[in-house]
Amino acid sequence: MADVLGVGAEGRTTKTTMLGRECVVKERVKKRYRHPTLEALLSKRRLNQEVRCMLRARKCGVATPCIFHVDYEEAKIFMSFIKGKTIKSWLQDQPPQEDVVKHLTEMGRLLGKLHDSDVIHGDLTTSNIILSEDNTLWFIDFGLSYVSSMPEDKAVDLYVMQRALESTHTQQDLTDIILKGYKSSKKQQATLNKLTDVRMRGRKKVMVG
Amino acid sequence: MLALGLEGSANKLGVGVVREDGTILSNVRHTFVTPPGTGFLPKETAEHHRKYVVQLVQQAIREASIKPDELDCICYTKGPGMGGPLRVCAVVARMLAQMWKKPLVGVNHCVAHIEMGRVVTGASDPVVLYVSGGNTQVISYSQDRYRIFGETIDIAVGNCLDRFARIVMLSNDPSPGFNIEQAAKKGSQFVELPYVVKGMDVSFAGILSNIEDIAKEKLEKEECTVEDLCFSLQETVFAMLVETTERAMAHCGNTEVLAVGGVGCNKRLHEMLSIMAEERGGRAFTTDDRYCIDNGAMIAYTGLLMFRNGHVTPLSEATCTQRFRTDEVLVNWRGSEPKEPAPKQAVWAPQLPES
Repeated sequence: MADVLGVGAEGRTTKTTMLGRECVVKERVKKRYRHPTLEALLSKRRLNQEVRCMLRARKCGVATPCIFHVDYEEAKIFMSFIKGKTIKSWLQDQPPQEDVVKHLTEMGRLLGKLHDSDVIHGDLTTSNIILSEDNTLWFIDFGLSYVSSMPEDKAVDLYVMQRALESTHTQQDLTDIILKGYKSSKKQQATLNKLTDVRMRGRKKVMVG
Repeated sequence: MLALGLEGSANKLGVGVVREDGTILSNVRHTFVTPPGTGFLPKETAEHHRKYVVQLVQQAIREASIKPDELDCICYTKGPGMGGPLRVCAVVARMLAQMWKKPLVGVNHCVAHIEMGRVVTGASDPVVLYVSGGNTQVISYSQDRYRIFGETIDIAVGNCLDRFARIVMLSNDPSPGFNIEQAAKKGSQFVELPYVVKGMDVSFAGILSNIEDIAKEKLEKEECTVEDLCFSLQETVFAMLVETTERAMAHCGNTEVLAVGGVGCNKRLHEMLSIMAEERGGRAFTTDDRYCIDNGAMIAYTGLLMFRNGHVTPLSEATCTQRFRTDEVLVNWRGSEPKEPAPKQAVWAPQLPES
């Protein structure tokens, strides 16, 4: 009766019901290639961070699924089901430009809020944001998230997003639209300055000096 | 068609002769090995290369049982790598090209590793984990380029292992990585080290300084052994690499992975990649030390691929460079079968440089 919603690199999500409500179960898949001690350590740390960051995001006004239950033994999170489309599939349907600007600016604004409360998402791709029918943007998959106040970590978060956008979507300037919305963040200046540094990274680039 | 390739971007000097189908006629190598506790420096490495390069070229030609006349082009590593050692090969390549009147092809070292791995294993379109003493990159092919998905933001994984070997005075013969691998087999206690994955990128510098401190403290108090540290270091850094590789595979929807570069011949890394790939319904490809470790044949093979698709390096541009990113090379031989023979404009008449 459980439908598989997705299998990523980190875990698999299935849809089921819990006490009559639609529910998503996210199960962290054990990585057999890792040393058991290291695996247990990472799994526990990441499960904790995931739950903690989702709650923190909700508190600062960014919509995330509501957590019903956490099973630490089996590394499972039970949360509410969000009906909608991922931004990825929404963008692939070529929506009108004004809608793209509207929703992506909003996405940037929410991202700024998230960073202002020191939540680093860790895996910001367009598959991890859902546009629900009432036009709310929901942030999901906090599996690689953590709490940090460093501009460096926030800038890397944005850089991961930029690279994901460039490799997934044909539309240009998506990053710029999002960053326009991001400018509403209180600490945007420090983060965006750092982002310039992070973009320069990558070894063995041709450069002067 | 036949090509001769010269490789000398780091401490390995290699010369190889290959045919266009990937048949290796000869692939000889000489490695500059330094005493335990030390690494190879550019100046001494260049001296080593100068000392051995002529005899290696002669040996490669002899073992291949060919005459220089039969060669179609001379290929050499243009970069990336250490300046001094690279220059030795570039000078020799230019000299051979003029002596034998053959066209030159400057090859990107990283692309050569990928192409050699592909032809040896038969993996057609894998996600590539390129791990060596100088490079750490997760690569996938898309639209005429090898695109870098994730990479190290500071030192390469092999560099991290090599420098750890120096701290605990492991031998550099045949290579520090090999000796760490052997020591790790005897390790049992897992010592926690930082686990640094930043988005798609990894970082090793902090792990190295952390394990340096641990080595000083714990070894003295005999809380752990050198073998335990080798084991823990391998487990930690390889898990980081396999994790980012898996994410790249999930993103590209690819189930095959190919490990290349010096660290790529580590059996434990291969085992971890295989487990990961099998769980995704695919498989992991690796090559043995003849092809994984820097060699001349990979430069010759890739140079020949490039040559057949119109790449030729004029003498005036036959330089080398320390900075040469994998994604800078136009990979125009993967879309369809290579065109044959080389287009007209590719034919290049060697000229003596103006004095």
